[in-house]
Amino acid sequence: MLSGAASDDVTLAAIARCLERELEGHDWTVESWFLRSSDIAYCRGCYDCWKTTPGDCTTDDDGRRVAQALIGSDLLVLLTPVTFGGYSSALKKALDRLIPDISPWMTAVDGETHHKPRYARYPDLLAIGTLPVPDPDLERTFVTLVARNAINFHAASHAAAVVADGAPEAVLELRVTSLLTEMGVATEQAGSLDAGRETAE
Amino acid sequence: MSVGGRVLLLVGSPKRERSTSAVLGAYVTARLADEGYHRTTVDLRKSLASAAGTAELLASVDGADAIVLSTPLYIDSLPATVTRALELIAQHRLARALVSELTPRDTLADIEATLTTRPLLLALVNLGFPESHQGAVALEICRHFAAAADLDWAGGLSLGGGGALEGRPLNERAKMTRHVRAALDLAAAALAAGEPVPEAAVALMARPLVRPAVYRRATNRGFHRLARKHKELDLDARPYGP
Repeated sequence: MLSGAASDDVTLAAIARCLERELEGHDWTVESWFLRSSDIAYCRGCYDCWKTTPGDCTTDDDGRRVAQALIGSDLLVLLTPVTFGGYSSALKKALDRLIPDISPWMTAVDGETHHKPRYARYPDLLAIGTLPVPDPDLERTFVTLVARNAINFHAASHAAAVVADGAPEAVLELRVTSLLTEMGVATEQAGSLDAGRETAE
Repeated sequence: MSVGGRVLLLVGSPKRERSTSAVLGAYVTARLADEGYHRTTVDLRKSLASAAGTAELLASVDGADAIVLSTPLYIDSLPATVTRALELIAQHRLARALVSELTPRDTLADIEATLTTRPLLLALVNLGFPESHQGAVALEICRHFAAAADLDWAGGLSLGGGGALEGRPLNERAKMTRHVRAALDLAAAALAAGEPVPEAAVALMARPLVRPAVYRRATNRGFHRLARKHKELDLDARPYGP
């Protein structure tokens, strides 16, 4: 679980707690990264992770450890304040460093160019964003971005949702439970997801 | 907009050299310089490295009549460096607007001055994928940023297969970049007139530099060459798992 929340963001902190409680209740192991306090450098755009040390970033910091943690995970959860319709810079910093997990080789997927997977399997993707007031335009951009990321990160299943900043924890809990059920987490065996389903709000 | 304004180029590429983003942005600001604009270029990676650099960035934004943000696409959206810079700019502009609202004005001229100081924002996104539509979400993010930062959204152009330019000046590949230059010329003219980027510019930029299948083959050939040259290199290495 990668959180790009600010240190005083009580809503995303509550969502993270709900997710941990619900997932651990279904015998999942949760590895949480609070990215604002992680040591992650900006991606330098050098592509050494494809050309020089394939599969590995040459910058040895938490960005590299997040990329390592992704492989072998069943589910990647992204938490973020919706920032201009996208992710916060803290979350984006970690996501930019995931490039080594993808192959440099290009292929066509549904008529579009993408990179081939480097690994045999990738986690499903769940993204939850917060907004202070509802904004369908921003929400649409956020949901579209998550769907695009799911293609490029080879997620078999994905879901995205935007919730109100400041919503009571009971409401957040219901939302989290509903999303996890939608993704099959609440009904599947521990640590496995029903691959092939695609859900987006 | 009158002749002789100020145009600010924000370069979002983290690359120190041979940046396609820098080349595309510089082309537009050069056209505006031809129209009498004073141009300034800010490398966002450098700006974020120091408090002084960040302060200079924010002051440059406030002083601009037109802003050109030129950036590569990273993971379907803007690179983290650009996102951070945009967060800071939006926070700064919001605080500035609030102070402005709370400050009493004596004259109509003061009010008019405030109302006419919204810079125009043009976004240029270049992609490692050949299909320009894959930059659409990044341009949407730029549009939302403009609204949050009290800027006038002039529009955006997405260039597919920007990697084919290898950061070289556009006139070095004159034939390949003819439609790119035409699109940028139209965008620059629109900015100079204080108008949104015309659909014709969007359509021109959307034309592929190279056909997608050819682009994929050329990219893969480059990696095959690299693998042949460095036999010890396993480009398909899986250091983190099966």
